[in-house]
Amino acid sequence: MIRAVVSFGLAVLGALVLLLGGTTGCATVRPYEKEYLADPIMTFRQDTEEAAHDLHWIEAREGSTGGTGVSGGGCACN
Amino acid sequence: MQLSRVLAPAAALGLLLPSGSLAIGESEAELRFGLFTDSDHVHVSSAGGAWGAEMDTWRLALDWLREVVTVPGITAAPGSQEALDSVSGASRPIASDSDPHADFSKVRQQVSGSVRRGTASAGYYVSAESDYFAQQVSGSYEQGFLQDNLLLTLSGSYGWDVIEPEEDEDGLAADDRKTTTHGALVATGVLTPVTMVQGGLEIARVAGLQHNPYRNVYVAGAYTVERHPDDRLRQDVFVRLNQYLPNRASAKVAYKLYRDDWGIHSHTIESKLAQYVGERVIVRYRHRWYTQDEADFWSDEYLLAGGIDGYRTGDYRLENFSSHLFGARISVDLGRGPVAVDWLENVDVVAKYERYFNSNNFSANILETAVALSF
Amino acid sequence: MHRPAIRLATLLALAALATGDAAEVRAAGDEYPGWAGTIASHELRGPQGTALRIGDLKGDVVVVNFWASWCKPCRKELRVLGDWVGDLAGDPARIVTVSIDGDRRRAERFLEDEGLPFPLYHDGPDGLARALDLPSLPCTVVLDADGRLVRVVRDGSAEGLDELRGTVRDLIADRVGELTAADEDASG
Repeated sequence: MIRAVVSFGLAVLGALVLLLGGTTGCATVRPYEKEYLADPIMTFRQDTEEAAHDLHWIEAREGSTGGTGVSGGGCACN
Repeated sequence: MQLSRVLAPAAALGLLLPSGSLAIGESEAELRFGLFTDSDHVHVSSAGGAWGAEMDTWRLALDWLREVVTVPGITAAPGSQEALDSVSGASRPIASDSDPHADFSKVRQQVSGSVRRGTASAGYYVSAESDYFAQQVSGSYEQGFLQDNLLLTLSGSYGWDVIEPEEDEDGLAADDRKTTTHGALVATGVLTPVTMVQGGLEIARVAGLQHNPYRNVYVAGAYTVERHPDDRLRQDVFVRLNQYLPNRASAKVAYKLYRDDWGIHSHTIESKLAQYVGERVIVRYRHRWYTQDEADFWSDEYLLAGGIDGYRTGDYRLENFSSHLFGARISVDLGRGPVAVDWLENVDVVAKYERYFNSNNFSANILETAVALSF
Repeated sequence: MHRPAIRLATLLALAALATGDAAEVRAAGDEYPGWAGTIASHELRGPQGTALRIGDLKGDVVVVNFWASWCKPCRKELRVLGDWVGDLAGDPARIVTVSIDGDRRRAERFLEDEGLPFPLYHDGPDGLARALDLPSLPCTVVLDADGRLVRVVRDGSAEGLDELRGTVRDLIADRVGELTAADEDASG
């Protein structure tokens, strides 16, 4: 069952990577066109930092974890 | 557990620092203060900070946090589940012989640091409470493709926790350990000059003590200590989409699917809308919806002495429920605008308020403020 | 030493450098075809409505640096180039920094906050950057005194900047040598 779950997850991610690779290959965004993507309201960085700060109180309240790509570290809360 | 157990490993971070003199480039620092209150009248006040700097080809980051959890005093019968809830899950020894009206207070301190050079980074985390000491090492590697329009990041971490329960009404539970091995593969892609997407897969294996050593469960007419499986395999897949909108705004949507081998499946959908107001203010709204089903061994009432498959739990996190989180955040650049102050030109002030409630009649208010400085 | 001997030595040294330089120029020109001409003919808007054509700077070694206030490696590279301005005073060389920020005010604010000694040439993302289809940001182009493309440095790394500095020094030395020889011919 674990193998099935892992395979499923990898298949989803693989599909995503292919989709991203395919779409970005069709219309590659040039370096000088990335101004909006660098704006603080657009980056993923702030979301990842906020999620890391939220992780401890959320994991003390809910049964799931993850969603950021990084592990938050242990405590009595989780 | 003593503060020195936090500081000593944290000081060892210095060994990660490259030697020799280094020119310091762009740096930033932040001070954060938070207050969490919930419907059980639990308070958590927190103070923390972060510092990051570039030194030649290295990037160093440090983060620290101090939380004080205060659980109000109640009259609790031995083995009851009351007064255990808190934002940090601070396990509270129940001692009905002691003053039942005394507040219970617990302090947690946390330090983490990371170094990055080029495409690789490494990090260390340590957290200390009176009955829980956690450490974690982590690393990541990223590689860009398609002229950096596609970024793949592989990361992993290993955490090891030492649990030394304090004495409670039932006596002194044995010391125990827990380890967490986590891996993630994340792909970040640029679709258009105004659209970015990110997808990830995470797997974590948790082994060791995973129940609350202070909590008892009512089973077949008697109280007995809670028992969870010693192993847990957790997986999640997530997708995030960020879209820049006209008039200097952005919309973000995220979805996470989670499952584990305790039988819990959950869905999380989160959305954020950010808007510049003038040159110096950013306002951001957030909504998060969460739903989960229950663990295989969850029951409102255990009729058999062994529980379900030998397991029994009073952990509210393992039952089915759904929740909502609404909130707003405002940040102000003090160095901009008609009344800008020169020496504050790289200072941002942030304030955030969020309201959380779930279908188990639990609710909480989260208030945070921060001052961020770049130099 | 006799003047004819000095002249011969200078000519031989220039010939040796020119052979190596010619190879480098050919390589850069082949890798980025048309860049030299496009850069030379493009008109940049400067402060107070002034205009600048890079082609009019022939005779000087020209470093053209493309940057944006939202690009972290660009900011780092600009600070380094800012330090070079003083070193190049009196030399036949110019550093021209071209902002590709969408909003001119952001670029102005950045130069002002950092105290950088560059006049603001703002061209936006759809000007020279798109015409050249810049392969990276930051991107720094070096043109010799004859307006030929010699080198393109595509990152703001320490190695890239060292390479850039070395190239500029060599080109300045070439140019000074040419000017010296020309002076001697004129006076001789």
